[in-house]
Amino acid sequence: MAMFNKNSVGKDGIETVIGPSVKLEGNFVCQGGIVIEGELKGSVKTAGYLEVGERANVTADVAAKEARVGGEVRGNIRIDGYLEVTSSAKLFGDIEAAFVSIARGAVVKGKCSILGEAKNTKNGTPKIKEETAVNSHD
Amino acid sequence: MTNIYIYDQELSGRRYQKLLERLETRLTDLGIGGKIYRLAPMTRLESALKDELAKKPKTIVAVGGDALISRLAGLIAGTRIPLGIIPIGSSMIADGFGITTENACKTLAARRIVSLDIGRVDGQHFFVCRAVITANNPSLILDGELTVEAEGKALIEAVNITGDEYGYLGAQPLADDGRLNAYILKTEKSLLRKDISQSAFICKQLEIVKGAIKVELDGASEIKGARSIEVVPGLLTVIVGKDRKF
Repeated sequence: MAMFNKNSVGKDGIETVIGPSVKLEGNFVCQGGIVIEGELKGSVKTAGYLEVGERANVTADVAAKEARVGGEVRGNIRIDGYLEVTSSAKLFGDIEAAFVSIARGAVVKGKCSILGEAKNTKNGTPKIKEETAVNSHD
Repeated sequence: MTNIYIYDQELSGRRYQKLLERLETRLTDLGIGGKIYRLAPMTRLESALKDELAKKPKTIVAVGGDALISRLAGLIAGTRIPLGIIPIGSSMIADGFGITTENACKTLAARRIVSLDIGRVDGQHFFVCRAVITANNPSLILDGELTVEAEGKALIEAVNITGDEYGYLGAQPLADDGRLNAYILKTEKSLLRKDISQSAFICKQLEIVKGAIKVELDGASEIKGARSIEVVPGLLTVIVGKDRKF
């Protein structure tokens, strides 16, 4: 199965894979990890890891424990832990995560809230450490 | 209560005579002999078994290949009568259950019984391991909520049980999790190479909205125009080997 990044697919807990030229529509909720290489419309929520591949096209609000995004996402992204935005990513929507890294070349249009450890604080409202309006990041 | 042994019609030839005699002797030695039904080409398995099932036999044993095992599994699903297997020739199902021709008699005697999910197609056709759907531009609905579409020719596999040698992505299909693993396999051609791309989903029910050409069950029987594939949890009891792959 040569079409996938072996590192991502081999990650523990990957449960769902949306391959290239496959389109999924609806409100998708699961406990395990998700790899998107194709198209997704609606919403996606997982208690696990999410990977959006370079050629993926996601029009959805996204929520996950951790994520690595290399494709296009139109919608808000909420990540409990670490969000890695790679250089090929194009994000149009607000981002909220405990930790974020954005690679040079990525396009990010929306509000970016990096909450640090506070993101995972259960008691009370998490304190926002840094909030930036980002138009692009090159 | 007795054991019922159903012999596949292909075993009626002289080629298998010695093997069957050897197996029968072994079963008698182990004290688990029973009533034998030899299927003939025109025999209807359902009518042959109807009276026997009413008597609640101790075990129904399929002696043969996947087609027979799959048909018997469908017939006894829900009866709580354990299905035993003596595979003759290659059998994907027996292989998954850790049963070979050599260890089958000993496995039957050990009566290691597990409850398993079973796949059901259009409410009546059953499969133990997997249904393979050949489709063009397929459109599926998973669990009545998610629409999945693929372009071009695709193979869709709804898998209940498998060993780990098939190279499927995602979660390992488990025989007792009340879920099916659905895969869409597509050939992606580029200028210089051809790759197989795979999508993997987990669901309880899969509806084929369009595109299905044929559905093959357990690699043994084929149906046309199927629309719905689902998993029925814990409906089948099977005597399995100690080296089963799930």
